[in-house]
Amino acid sequence: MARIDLRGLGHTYSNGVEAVKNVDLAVDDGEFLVLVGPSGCGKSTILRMVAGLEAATVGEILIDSTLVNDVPPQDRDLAMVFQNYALYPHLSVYDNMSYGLKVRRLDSETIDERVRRAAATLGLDEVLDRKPKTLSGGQRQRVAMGRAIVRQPRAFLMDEPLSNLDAKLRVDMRAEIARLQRDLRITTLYVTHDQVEALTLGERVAVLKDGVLQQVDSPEVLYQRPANVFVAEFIGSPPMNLVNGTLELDEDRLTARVGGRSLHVGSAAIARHPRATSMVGREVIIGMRPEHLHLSPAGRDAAPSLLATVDLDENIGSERLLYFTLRDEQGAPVAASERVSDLDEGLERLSDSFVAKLHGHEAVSYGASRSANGTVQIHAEADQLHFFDPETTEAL
Amino acid sequence: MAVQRSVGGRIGMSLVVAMIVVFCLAPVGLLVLTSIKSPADLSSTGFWPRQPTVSNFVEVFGNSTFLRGLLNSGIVVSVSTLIAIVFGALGAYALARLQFRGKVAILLLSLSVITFPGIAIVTPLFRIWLDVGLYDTRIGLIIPYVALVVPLVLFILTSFFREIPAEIFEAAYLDGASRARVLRDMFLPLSGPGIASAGLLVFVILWHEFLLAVTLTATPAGRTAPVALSLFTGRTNVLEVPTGAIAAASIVITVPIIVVVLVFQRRIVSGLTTGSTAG
Repeated sequence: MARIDLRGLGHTYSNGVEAVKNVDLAVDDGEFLVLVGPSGCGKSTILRMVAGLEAATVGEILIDSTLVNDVPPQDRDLAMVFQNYALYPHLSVYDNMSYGLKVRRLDSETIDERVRRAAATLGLDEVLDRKPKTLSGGQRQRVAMGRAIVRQPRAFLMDEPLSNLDAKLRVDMRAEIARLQRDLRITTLYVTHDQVEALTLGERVAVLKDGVLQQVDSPEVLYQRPANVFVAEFIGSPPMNLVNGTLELDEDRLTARVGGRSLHVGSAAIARHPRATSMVGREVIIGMRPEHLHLSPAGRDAAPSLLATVDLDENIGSERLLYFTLRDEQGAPVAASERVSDLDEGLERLSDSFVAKLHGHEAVSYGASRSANGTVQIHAEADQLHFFDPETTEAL
Repeated sequence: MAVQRSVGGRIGMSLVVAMIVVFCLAPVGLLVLTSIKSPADLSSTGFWPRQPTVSNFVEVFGNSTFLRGLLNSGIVVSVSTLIAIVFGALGAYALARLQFRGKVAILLLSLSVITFPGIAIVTPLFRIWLDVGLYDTRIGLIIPYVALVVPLVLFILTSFFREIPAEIFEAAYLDGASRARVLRDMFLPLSGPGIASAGLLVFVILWHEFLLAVTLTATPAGRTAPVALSLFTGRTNVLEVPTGAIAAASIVITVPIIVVVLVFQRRIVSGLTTGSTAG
C-alpha cells in the first residue's frame, strides 16, 4: 500500500521530444487513478518513470513520501502489467507468477499458497503447468495480472492492459480488474487511451494531452464540468458537439445564438460557467453533448431550436445516432468548431457534422419529426450547455 | 496457410521436391558408393561396387597425418567457435540493447569484414605469422578464424537479440531481479536458440575452411583435416590418385558436421519467445 506523488515531473527523450511536461499528480493510498489521453500524450512515459524504467528528466517521484528518482525498478516494490503482457516465454504459468516471489526469497509454502490463490481467483488453476504460448490471449492477460497480484506490491502500474483483447473479453476483464482492485485496495495507476475504460475504472481520471495534465477529477466531474475544450471532446462518446456562437441577453435571460437561432441557457449551465455572463456579446465555443440534444416536434417553432439536415441515421436498437449538418435560416451550413484533438473514434469521417443521441421513445418516433423538406429542429437541454473561451479553449 | 491443392498439383509438387532431393544428395550417394569400392571396382565402369569393402576406411584411419588433421580441425574449429560466440554475443548484446554513439558504424564496419576477400589477407598474414612464430600452429589458425566469423556472429545475434521483447526484461526487473539475475534467468535461456544457430553456422564454415589452412600450415603439426585430405597420395606412387581413400576421408570429415547439426538443432527451437506477448 502506498501513496504516489509526482512533483513537477518532466521527461525529454534523447531526440529532444518533450514527452511529459511539469506534471503534478498524487495517487492516494488504495486509490485507482487512470491516466488517459490520445496516443503519444506521454501517459505511458509517466508510468514508466514511476516504474523506474525511464528516468525523470526533471521533477520528483515519491512513493510514501520517499524520493525514489534514483531507486532502481527492482527496489521500488511495484508490479507492472504491460500492454503486450511480457510473460516469461520459457517458464510455465506457475513459474511466471512465482518468479517475483522466488527472487524475493519467500519460502516455497508462501509462494505456493499465493500463486494458487491468485490462480483460483483468475481461473488459471487448469493451466498452471502450461507455457504461455499455449494460452489464449485472454489467459495470457490473466497470467500477467496474476503475476502482479501475487507480489502484493505497494502499487500496481498498468499500461493499457486490455488493449490487445477483443471487445467482449475487454469488457469482462474491465469488470474483473475493477473487482480485484476493490477487493485488494492496492494503489493503482492505470494507463489507457480509451475514455470509456478510464471512466468505468477510475476513481479519479487524469486527462493528458501533449505531455501536459489537463484535468484530474472524478469521472462525474470530468463529464459534467470539463475544464477545457480538449477534455470536453475527449470524455464522452460520441464526443461533445462544439460550435461557435455568441452569448446574448434576451430580456435578462442568457441566450446562446448559433446560426441565427437561439438556445435558452439554463441556470445550472450558468452556475457551472460563472464567467459566461461576462462574455455577453462576445463569441464563445458552445458545447452540447449528443445525449442532451433532442428533436423538437415538427412544424412548431415554439421552443428555441436549431435547424438541421440529417446526413446519417444509425439505429442501434436502444438508441439512435443522428449525424446532422447544422443550418442557418437561409439553409447554409454552420461549421463545427475546429477540433483540438484527433479523435480516433471513427467519427472523423463526419468530423464536420454534429451528432445527436436519441433514446427510447424519441429514437422510435424520429421519422415523425421530419418535415417535408428534410430538415429537423433540434434543441439542447438548457441546463446542459457548455461554454468555452475560443482564445484559451478553457471553460468559462 | 495450408492451401488446398488439386491432385495434379500435389503430384507435380512432389515430383519437384523429389528432383531437388535427388540433385542435392546424388553427389553424397556417389561419394558413399565410391568409398566402399575396391581398387578393381574403381577401375571398372560399373556403377555398383561388385565387392564392397571397408578397406578404404581402414586405410584412412591408418593414415596418421589425416588423423592428426582431424584432431587439429576439432581443436581449432571448436575453440574458434567458442571464442567467436562469447565475444560476438557480448558485442551483439551491447549493439542490440544498450544506447551509445556509433552503434550503426560499428555494425557496418564489422559487416564489411564479411565481404572482405580472404585471398587479400593471406599473403601478408603468411609473412607476419612467419615472423612472429605463429606459422604452422593451431593458434595461428584460431586467430584469423575468430576474426573471420565474429562479424557474422555479431550480425546474427544482434538481430536475434533485438527480436526479444525488452518488456520481458523490464518485467523481470520490476519483479525484483538484479541485472545479473535477469541475464541468467531471462536473457541466456531466451537467447539460446540464436546462439545455437550462430554457433552451428560458424562451426560449419570453419570446419571446411581451406584457403587460410593451406597457406598458414606446412606440416602435420598444424594441418587441418581438409588440408590433410587434399594431400592424399597413393601409397606406392605419388602420382596415383587414391580415389577410394579420398572418398572415405571425405565421409569421415562430414560426420562431425552432421553430429554437430543434430546436437545443436535440438536447441534451435524456432519461436521460443512466442507466447510472451499478446500478438
